[in-house]
Amino acid sequence: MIEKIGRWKLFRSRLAVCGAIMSLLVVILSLVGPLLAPYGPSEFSSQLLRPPSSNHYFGTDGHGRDVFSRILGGSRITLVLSLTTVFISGLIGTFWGLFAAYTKGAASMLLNRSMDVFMSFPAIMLALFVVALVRTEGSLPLIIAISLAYIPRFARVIYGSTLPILEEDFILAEKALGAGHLRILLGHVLPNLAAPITVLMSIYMPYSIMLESTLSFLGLGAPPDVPTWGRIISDGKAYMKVAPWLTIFPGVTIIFAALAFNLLGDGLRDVFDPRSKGRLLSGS
Amino acid sequence: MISALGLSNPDENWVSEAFLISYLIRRIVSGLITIFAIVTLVFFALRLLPGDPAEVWLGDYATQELIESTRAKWGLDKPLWGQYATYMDHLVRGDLGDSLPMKVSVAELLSRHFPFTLRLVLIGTVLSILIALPAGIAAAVRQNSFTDLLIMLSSFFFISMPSFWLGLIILFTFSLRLGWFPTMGGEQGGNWMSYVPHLTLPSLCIGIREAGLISRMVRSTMIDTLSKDYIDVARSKGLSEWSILYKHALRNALAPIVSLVGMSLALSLAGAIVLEVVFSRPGLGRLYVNAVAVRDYPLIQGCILVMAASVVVINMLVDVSYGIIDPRIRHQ
Repeated sequence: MIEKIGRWKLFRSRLAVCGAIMSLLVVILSLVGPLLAPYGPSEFSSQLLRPPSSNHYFGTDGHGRDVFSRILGGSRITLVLSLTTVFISGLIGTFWGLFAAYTKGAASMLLNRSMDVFMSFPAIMLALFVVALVRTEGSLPLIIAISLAYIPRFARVIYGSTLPILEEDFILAEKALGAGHLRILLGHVLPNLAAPITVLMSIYMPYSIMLESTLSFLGLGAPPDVPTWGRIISDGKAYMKVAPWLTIFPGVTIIFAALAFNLLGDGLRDVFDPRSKGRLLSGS
Repeated sequence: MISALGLSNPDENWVSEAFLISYLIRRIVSGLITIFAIVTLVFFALRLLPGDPAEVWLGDYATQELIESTRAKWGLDKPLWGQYATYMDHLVRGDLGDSLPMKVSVAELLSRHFPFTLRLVLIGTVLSILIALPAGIAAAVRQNSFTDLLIMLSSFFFISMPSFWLGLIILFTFSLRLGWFPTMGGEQGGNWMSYVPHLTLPSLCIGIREAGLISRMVRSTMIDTLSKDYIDVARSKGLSEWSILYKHALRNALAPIVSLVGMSLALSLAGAIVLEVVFSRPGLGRLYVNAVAVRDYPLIQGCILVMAASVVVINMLVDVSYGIIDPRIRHQ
């Protein structure tokens, strides 16, 4: 039995290593990918809707653009977009959760209740609402929408992780020594939240990638000239019947990237908090 | 021990019943406050942020006079607090206003479309539980085996897949290529025969995807439960593995699993928004996406109200059923 558990742990850690390597691959791809692309991401040609071949590995789309080059070119944009949104929701969500746990009385209640209010929207519904409201050009509405969708979910977990830390002896000792609120929160509580924050960020990376692609699919995501992976699927869906490769390849790319970060996040959680093994947070 | 096995002391029943009722009332009040907060938030967010619905609706070539008269017709020229008071006053009477472009009452649109979403979500949830429960239990019982690995890997795979993409692939394969199912439309209300062709594919999409998440949770819950002392006690009494699993373990794991069902319902609701668009079927999600695209304020507000109220009700039912299923929580 013990040997079996040992083997499993090893395997799980192998899965995590697998996830780490895949994530690294995705990151490297986003850095050098655009340079490797045989064509420009928005380079038009007369080769319309060609199936995959040695000239065009993933075929061409309705404008004669090379799908392989578009996916490579889009990788950086997609990843930067997801990282940005995850960082924003991580930053705001952490402080929200931190203050909700630390404050008392009306302030704590207000911070907690407002989390409930935002969590009553499915993430996609909230994101759609924001995209429709923020009428500016470019990717800004998308960034705000995705960040806002995950801020309360981030805050909820950080709130839960902060409460037990506040009960620890070293916090009481700090208080007894007369440390100020800011010193306690930033100097002592925050460093202890590093683990859940790291895990949450890697868990929300795939959600962010998928939410972006969903919004783009619904026609409310990235602007037409920005080839995110979701945008490429969205452009290709009209040709589903004649050119399924336009949908299949970017989709598989999204699955690969999301799987990479999911495995990595799961592994990180095992490393940081072995008790919560397998308990995943809902992103929707 | 008695409470751990899911039995409560009959003498204490009236205490717990009184507690349950007061708990229920508190939950309903807090749910209503949440819904009120959402309605208020959405109302002001829609009106305070830049961008005028009349301008957006009429397009770039509309004259200023036309915009002004449209604003007046839609009541957007009145002071904000006045608009809010009127809106709330109508809301408590069940009047959600008229859809701006369609000139149909929002309440009517919602009541026409909501049953489609409800059917999709319910069947999708049932499917996800039907897939996830056996899969999660099998993975937990044969922990660390090849079965476990296979189930967990597929769960990872499905949670890494955008649901609209799964929908597109399924639609492409079974409707466009094989022609087994219609490519669009919804089931007709009175006609049960139309349910299977229209509901199979979208609910299957929801079922498969949410099962990815739920099966992982079933697995970890079951592993937790199976490591408890009373399972060892049951085993030492010589009970069969089957009876240990279903009479002792599953029953005690029921409370977390009920919360999973609740979560699955909420997730399916979110999934339905996109899948209704993919499968071109009527429903709240498609109504909402269209309303967002043309900034149909009353309809956006109505859809969010129904959606948020559904989530609030689901959460409430889950919390209350916790107390009924697991007496330990009632006595806390």
